[in-house]
Amino acid sequence: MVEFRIDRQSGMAAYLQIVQQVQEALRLGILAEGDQLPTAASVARNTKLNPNTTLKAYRELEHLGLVEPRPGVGTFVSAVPARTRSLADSPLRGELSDWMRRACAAGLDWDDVSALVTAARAEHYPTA
Amino acid sequence: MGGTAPPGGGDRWAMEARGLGKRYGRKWALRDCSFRLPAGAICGLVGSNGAGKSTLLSLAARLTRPTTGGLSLFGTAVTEDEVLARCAYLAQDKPLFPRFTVEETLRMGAELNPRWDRAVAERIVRSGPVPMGDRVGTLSGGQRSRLALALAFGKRPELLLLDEPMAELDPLSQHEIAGLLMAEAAEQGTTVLMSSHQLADVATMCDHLLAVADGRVRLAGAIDELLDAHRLVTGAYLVDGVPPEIARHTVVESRTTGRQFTALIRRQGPVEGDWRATEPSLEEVLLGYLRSPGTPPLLTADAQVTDEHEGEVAA
Amino acid sequence: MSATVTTGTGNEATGEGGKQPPRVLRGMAWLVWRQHRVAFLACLLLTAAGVANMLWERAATRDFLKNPRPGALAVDVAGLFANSSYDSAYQDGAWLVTCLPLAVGVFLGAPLIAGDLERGTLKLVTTQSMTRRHWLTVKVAAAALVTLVCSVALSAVYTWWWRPAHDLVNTGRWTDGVVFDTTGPMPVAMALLNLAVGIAAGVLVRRVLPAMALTFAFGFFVLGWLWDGVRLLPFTPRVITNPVEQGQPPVPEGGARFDNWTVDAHGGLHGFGTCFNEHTPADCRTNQGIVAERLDYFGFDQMNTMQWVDAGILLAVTVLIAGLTLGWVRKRSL
Repeated sequence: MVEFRIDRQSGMAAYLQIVQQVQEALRLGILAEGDQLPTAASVARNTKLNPNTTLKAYRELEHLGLVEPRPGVGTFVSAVPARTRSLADSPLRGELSDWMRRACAAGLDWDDVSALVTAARAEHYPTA
Repeated sequence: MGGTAPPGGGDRWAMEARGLGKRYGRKWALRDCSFRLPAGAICGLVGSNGAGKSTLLSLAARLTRPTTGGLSLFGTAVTEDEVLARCAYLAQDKPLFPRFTVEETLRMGAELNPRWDRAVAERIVRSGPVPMGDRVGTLSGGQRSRLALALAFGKRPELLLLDEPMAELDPLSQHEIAGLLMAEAAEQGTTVLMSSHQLADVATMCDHLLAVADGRVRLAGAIDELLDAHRLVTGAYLVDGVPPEIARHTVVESRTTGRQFTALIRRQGPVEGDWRATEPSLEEVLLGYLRSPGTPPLLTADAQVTDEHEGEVAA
Repeated sequence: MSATVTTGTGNEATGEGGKQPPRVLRGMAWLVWRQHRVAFLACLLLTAAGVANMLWERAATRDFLKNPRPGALAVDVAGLFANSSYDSAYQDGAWLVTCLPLAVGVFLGAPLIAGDLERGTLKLVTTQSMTRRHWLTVKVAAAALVTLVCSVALSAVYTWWWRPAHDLVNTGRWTDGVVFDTTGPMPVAMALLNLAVGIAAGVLVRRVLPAMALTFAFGFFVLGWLWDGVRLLPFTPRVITNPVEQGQPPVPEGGARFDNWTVDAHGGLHGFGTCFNEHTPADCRTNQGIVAERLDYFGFDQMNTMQWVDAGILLAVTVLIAGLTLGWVRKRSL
């Protein structure tokens, strides 16, 4: 079982925080295949989070193929993502690394780079 | 919960107001309000003091009668006696009989409500923990709130109306009561309409929003949709007045600081041009609408009153 | 596992029956009783004490009335009575019966709805599954029932005690409030009117203490003072006229004097004291043409009807006040 922590100041939608925290727990091995996720009611009790938000997060996780609902019982981890390593090996990472090197050479500091990344990300992932 | 949402028909809408108005003396507390609240929603009712929040809750709880228009709960007009059993109401000061014991207060719930669920009420009270034999007058604010909520949930309402449930509670009690409210609403599938001044609470606890100002509805609908309909745009201020790319949209409010132009807009298509557009926070949207009475109100498709019902009758 | 299950059901079993007292009252009746039981019980206990006291006094008075002084004249009996402790016992009894309507209005009527308005519990009770109409009906009916029981008991016992001494108590002047308003149906009507006024005051000012003060003021000034001038207005007294030489006609047995006049030959009425203080009253009367003396009085046989008519008037006012108040409470915004 995991406990979620909702950061109300982060500006990130609460359901995404849950999705992210489940993914992280899977990566860290806190959650394993077959484990049950807390019910919406118990998340609500601990974090006063709207139960529909938790359910939305679980639907998203189900969409990603990480969990499956068992009607009348709860939501369970169905698969542990194997993407973590492939992501690290992907060519995208190399390209980003190259870009960072050039940015560094051009004299951009940490904040400049962050601003650019955020702006570029917002362009392509508008709803996130 | 989400999966057990009632099917269509009158039960699809926990609350439906048509041209609802309430006048006290010469002053209109609520005027020409038309909106819908889908069943299963947890809806925040926000607005300034005196905007009409308490009046709306009072109308739904049958504490007062509408001057104009109508209000129905689950397809039944509030004037019908049967809505009493389907809806629970918690006034802001959470009135209880101070000389009753906790046990007697729960007995009152059992005596006055045919659908009384003793197990639910006692579970809520005992998890407090609130001693059964104590007099209500000796309880702390948090314990009183818990008892009042136990009374409300023991009634097994389909709709729960709360007037500032967390006001005047210490932070620990606030957290406990809010958690209790969310968990019980989730377990019983209760639709909740709660007025609140705590926007942070509304943002995490509620999935729907009903904002009123000056007795009229300003925003109504699912919070996700309401936020998605708006963008906060920032850019350089190059021409006088609102830049043409921005003026295409509905500008809720705008301001210029030096050479920076910032606006909250209701999107009409994508934002074009050299603008940084981000999704605004609930607070930003809400404050924008409350500050700009000239902006037309926004009701999402869910929240709009349509005549489908009458169409069915006619057909 | 099985142990937890057993304790679970065990708890429920003790919770359901066992230690809890049996449910005699249910629903709204239970709530109204629980909420007002102190006031209800106080009224009933005080009434019981009053009734017991009057029964005791009646036993003592009966011996005196049966056997005051064998062969004594009526006038002597009246003198004996006035000088005995019995007279003051009757006065105490009458005072108790007079206090009842006041107490009912102040302690039962005024807080009945004002208490719920003041604490906000009206919002609590009327948002349970029962209608405001139902709540009002049960609440007012319960208060009216307690009022009825108390006033009927006190009035019945006092009337029963008073009747054999009706020509002695208050020197036989039963048209005074101290007798008229404390016997027969009058205390019941007064109590119900005070109850209605108390409820109305509570609804009007929404605070218990001011409502109690208002109700007390009404009971004291309107029923205790203004009513004195109204009580006999609807009724026509009987008339006895004597030739002036025979003096004032005597009040018939059991009757209550209403007024005395002197009458001239044309039937014109003059004050009964006309020519009373003249040196030569006979000449004065001749000059004024006065030929007869007249007595207006109410016969004892009229008393019953008069009380029922007055009680009817008070009850009509009660129904009017209660109807207006309850109709308003049913509709008003909370």
